[in-house]
Formats: sequence, C-alpha cells, structure tokens
Amino acid sequence: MIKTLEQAIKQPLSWFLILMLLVCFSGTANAQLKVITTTQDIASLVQAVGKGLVEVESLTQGYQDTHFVQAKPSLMLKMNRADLLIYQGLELEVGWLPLLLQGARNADIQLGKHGNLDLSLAIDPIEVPQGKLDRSMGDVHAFGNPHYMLDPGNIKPIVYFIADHLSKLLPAQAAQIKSNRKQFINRFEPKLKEWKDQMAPFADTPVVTYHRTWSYFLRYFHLTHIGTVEPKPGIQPSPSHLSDLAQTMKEKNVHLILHAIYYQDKFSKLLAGKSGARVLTLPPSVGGVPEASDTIKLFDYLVNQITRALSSNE
Amino acid sequence: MKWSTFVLFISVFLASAIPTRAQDSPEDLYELQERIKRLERRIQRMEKGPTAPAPQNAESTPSSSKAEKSIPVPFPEMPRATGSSADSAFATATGLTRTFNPAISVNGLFLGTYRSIENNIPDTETKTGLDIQEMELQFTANVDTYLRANFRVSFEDDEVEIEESFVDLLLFDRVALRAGQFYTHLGKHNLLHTHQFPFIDVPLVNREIFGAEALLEIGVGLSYLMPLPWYSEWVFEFVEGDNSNLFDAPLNDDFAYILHSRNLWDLNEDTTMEIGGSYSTGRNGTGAALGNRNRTTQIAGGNLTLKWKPARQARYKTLVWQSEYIRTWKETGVNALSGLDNPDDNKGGMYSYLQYQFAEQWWIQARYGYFGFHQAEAANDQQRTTLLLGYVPSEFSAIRLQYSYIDEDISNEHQVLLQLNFSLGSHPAHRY
Repeated sequence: MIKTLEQAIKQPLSWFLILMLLVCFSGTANAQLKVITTTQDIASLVQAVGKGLVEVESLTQGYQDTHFVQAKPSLMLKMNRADLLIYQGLELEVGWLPLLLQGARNADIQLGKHGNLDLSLAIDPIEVPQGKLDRSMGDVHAFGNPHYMLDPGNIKPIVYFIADHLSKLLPAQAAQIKSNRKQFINRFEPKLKEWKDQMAPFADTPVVTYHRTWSYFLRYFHLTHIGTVEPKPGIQPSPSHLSDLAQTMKEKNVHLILHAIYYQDKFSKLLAGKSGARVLTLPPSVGGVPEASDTIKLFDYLVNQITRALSSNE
Repeated sequence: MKWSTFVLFISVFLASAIPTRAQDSPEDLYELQERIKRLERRIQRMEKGPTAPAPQNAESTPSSSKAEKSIPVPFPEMPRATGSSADSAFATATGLTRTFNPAISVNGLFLGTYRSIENNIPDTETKTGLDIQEMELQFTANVDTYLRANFRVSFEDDEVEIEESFVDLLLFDRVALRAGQFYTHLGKHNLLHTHQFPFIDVPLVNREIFGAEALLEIGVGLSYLMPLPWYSEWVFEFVEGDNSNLFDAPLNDDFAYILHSRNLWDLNEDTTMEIGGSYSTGRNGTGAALGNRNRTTQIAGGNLTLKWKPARQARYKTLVWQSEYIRTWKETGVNALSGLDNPDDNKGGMYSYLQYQFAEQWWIQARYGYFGFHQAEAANDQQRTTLLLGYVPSEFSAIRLQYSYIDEDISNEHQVLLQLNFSLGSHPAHRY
C-alpha cells in the first residue's frame, strides 16, 4: 500500500491534478464586499446600511449564547473569505474569536487592519468594573457590559459608525451608503419614540434578571434592576443566594424575572416559585426568535412582551 | 500627555471643520460629533487601559445616574495603576511597560492512584499513592509584528523539561509556519498537553508507539488551508527525528518527515465531523553502524471524530465520539553475519471513546483501547477499558475519577485514578 502511495507522489500527473483542483476552487471571485459579523444584531444593521453593496453573514445565530461559541473550523473558513470583520468587543467574544482569527489566516481582518472593526468604540459602556479584577468574581468583563446592542439609544451611533467605515472601504459608493443610512434612521427614530411611549408607564418598575444581559435595556427604559439570579457572572446560584434574592423581591414588590433564551430556566423558575414573580424568557438578540428578524422587530418584540407582562401584573 | 495633546489637536481641527459643514445638514454635524467621540474613546482606551472608568458625556448622564442608583457597583474602588510612564508601578529597567509582558499561566495536575498489582515492585513508576502528575508553566505573546511565540515548561517529580516551545508566523494568506519544539501532527491525541487529555492517562496505542513523551520534536512545520468548500488543513513537518521508540538515527542528515491532513464538515448546525490522516517516515537507529540500508520507520494514522453540541444549549450538553488508529513499519537493518534483512518490527493499535456532558458541570466518559495489530506474536496484545466521571465547576478547574480494567500479556489489573486539574492566569484558548 505504501509502495503505491510513494509511486503516486512521484507521478507528475497526480501533482498536476492537485494543482488543477486548487486553481478551480480559488477562482471564485465576487465583486461585493464580504462582511462577517459576530452577531446577528450587527449583521442586521450592516444589511440596512450596506444594502446592495455588501454580502453579510453572522458567525452566530441569535439563539446562541455569544459567551459560549465553539471555534469551529467552518467559521474559520467563513472568516478566511471575508473582507471585513465586525465584532461587539468588550471581551464578549474573547473565548473564541482570537482562535478563529488565528485559524482564518486572513491578514486583512487582523487587529489593526481596516478589515477589523470593534463596534464598541461607538458607545459608552456601563458597568465597567472599578479596581482590581480576579477570577473569583466569575466571568467578569473588564471593559464593561458587552450587551450594548440592547440599548436602543446606541443604535444610531452604531449605524453611523458602520456607515462611516463602509464608506472608507467603498469610497465610490459613499453616497449610496449615506442614503441607506438615512433611510434606516428615518424608519428607526419614530419607532424609538413609540417604544419610549409604550414603556413610559412602567418607569421605575423593579425587575430581576438571570444574567446582566438586560442592563442597557433597563437603563434606557428606566426600569430598576434589583439583582441577578446568578450570584456572579457565569456562576450557578446557591440555594441561599436564591432565598435571599426572593426575600428582597418580596420586599421590593418584584413581579418579573427577565431570562435570556439560551440559559437553562430551572434556577429562574425556582426563584419564581419562591418569590411569586413570573419568568419572562426573551431573545436578547436578532434572530433569537423568528419574529425578531431585524433590529427594529427585535425591539418591537421585546417592548411588546415586557409591557404585556408588566400590565398583567397590575 | 502626548495623547491628550493629540486629542486636543484633532478636536480643534474637527471643530474648526464643523461650522462650515453644519450649515449644510444636522446629519453631517452628528456624523462629525460621533467621529470625535470615537476618537476620544480610542485615546482613552490607549491611555488608561482596561480598568478606565466609563466616560460620562452630557447626553447619557441623566439616565445613567438613575441606573447607577439601582445597579450596585460590582467591584469596590481600589487604587490602580495609571499606565503612564511616570507611574513607578509600570516603569521597568528594560524600558518596556508591564503591558507588554506575555500572558502567563500555570496548569496543575494532582493525581491519586490505586493499582491492584505491582505495588511491591520498588522501581515501578506508578504505584498506589498520591503524586503530582504535572505542573505546567506557559508564556504566550506576540514577539513583534511578525511572530507569535509560546514557551512551555513542565515540572514532573524532580525533572524540569522544556515542553512545546515555538513561534508561529502567518506567511501569506492561507499559509502558516511553525518553528521550534512542538507536538507533531501525527494523529489527533498526539497534539494534546497533559491537562487537555480527554481521559487522565494517554491512550494505550499512543503510549506504546510514541512512548511517554509523545511525538515531541524539534523542527519546522508548514500548514496550508486548502481553498476547498470544507475546512481542509494540510500540514508538512520537517523534524529532527529524536523519538527513541521510532527514529533516533545517529547520523546528522537523518531527519523525519510528517504529512497530515485534517478535514472538517458541519453535518448540521450542531454536529461536526472530522476526518484526519497522517503519514511519517524517517531513518531509525537500528544497525546504523552497518551502513544505511533498510532502516526506515514509517508511521500511518487515521482518526474520526463526531462532535455534537446543540447551538441553543451550548453551555449544557455535548457528545463526542472519537476513534483513532495508528500503525508503524520499522525496518531493523541487516544481519551482520548472513547479510540478510532482519524481520520488520511492525506495531499497531487503536482507541475509541465517548464523552457525554449531561449537565453544565458533569461529564461521563468511556474508552476502549487495543494494542497488538500487525505484530508477530499475538499473545503480546493489550486491552484497556476505561470509565470516567468528571466534575467541572468552571473552565479553570476539574475533578475527575477514572476506573480502568487493564488486560496485558498474562496479568490483569484494576486501576483507579483521581485527578485534580486547575489552571490559573491567562491561558490561550484550546483549539477545536
């Protein structure tokens, strides 16, 4: 068997065939700018701004936990063919994106290149830990809470950032990008007012969340965050933590526990049983449920679900 | 100071540009304002590093002050370094700030062993008792614009050893180069460090063919990501050939060559299949004094892995099925008296295991290993059946209990291992 292998390697014909194969597959060029995003939230905005000019694909789906993504080689392949990588940053993707970037072998999208865009520059992060950090604090994000796409107030600066960057990469299409951006903002701003009006009656309502996924959302709509089911980020709650939290919830009259779809809901349900509140399981990202197919529809869905849940408690 | 001056300069420059353009449209004004904000944030990050407080601007203050009342600050204020060159905590004799220090990590493995036999033989390496299986110290950093380096030492009993230690370089798109001492791409298990092993011990076939140290070699490797619709990586490695079980030829030009192909397909969103193949050839040390004839060692291996991890519950469920087969052909030189070839020393074996994560912190695993294919005497074959229960509180620690039934030659053995595994510091993510 080995003898035939050796013979095969010595045959010029087999080398020729391998070369032909390579040429065939490498010749698939496409005129559009290929954009890879880490989340569907970003992909949805890139789609709006780069309509007709870019081909965008997200590495994760909205129902996936973006802290916990497998650095699958198939994702490396997608990144190998990309012209631009856009990610949320603030260490959200720290467990898998560096591995993918190394495996992608694409010099254009490495850190410091024009093909590498950290979207968190467009916003001011909240919950930036002060002082010394330590692993005993759980999966803490040193640069602040990375779930900023859930702040409707952040969408406009983010859209402007994406448009600015796409115009740099496609200078000839700058006018088209600007008009796409305008179209989106014109659709988005009346919606923003609508959501604010819908949520206004519930200002200062206290809520509990499973993880600090919803901090930006709560801040924007002036809901009060009483605590989290997780005692520390990424850490399972102990019975004593749950009973303490249930006690606080009763004192402060909390009726709602917000729970992201990708977490197991057994602890949230346990807490609900102890405190009398109800668990509302929500998609924290575009694509998390079929109804939330783009950024505007996601906020529509979230605002509707939360206002419905809060009004039924009154 | 330098950056602040730069901000000032940019701000003044942009501000002077604003009035003329602002008359055109409020949109343009907003665009420029946002650009300035991003520049300011970029500079703030460079100046203050990760622990900088969130910048407060006029727009967000009313709402955020309200939120801050309700959200407790998770970590109390403590004194911290500024990162400025005037800060004595950051200045060093080499003129580099500590920001440029490599990522440092330590992996510790403590092992408790129970064996049903051989406890009364003084020289046996593993006996019933407690032991440090390995302590590993690792440094990782970018060397400069071009190179990325790994340096790893392991401490085992009284020995200190340089384990893997290499530099990586992206030569062109798709082509990467590795140089130094590294685990060669011969099969799948050979690439793993002790703390990454799916079971506490090395599979039987790897131990018998490569020896206790695995196929760790000094050399240069080139890897190429094929432009194919699926992930296909081809690796060619040119190494010294020091492994005493396989190569270890005494002449200067007796190197070993390794070729490996790694192919992955996503069968669906949750399941990935990996098929790999390896081939290696090199001169061995047998009969070298008698000339160069007929003393080549060849190794071939194949592996198949199926991994299922449901996208919607990635934190909670995993199932892995992995199998690997490795064989060798080893020519043993020429008989000095008769001038005839000595009989070849051929070996072969396999393992196959299942790993199932049934809850966030719990794993149950089973493995079967066989060694004894292609051998002249069938009586020398060995089998090993292993079961493992793992408790993994976080990515940084694990406690695992393993039972093996070992069927070797004439004696049978029951073995129980209990391992504590911890990692501290900044450890690079493991590959898929």
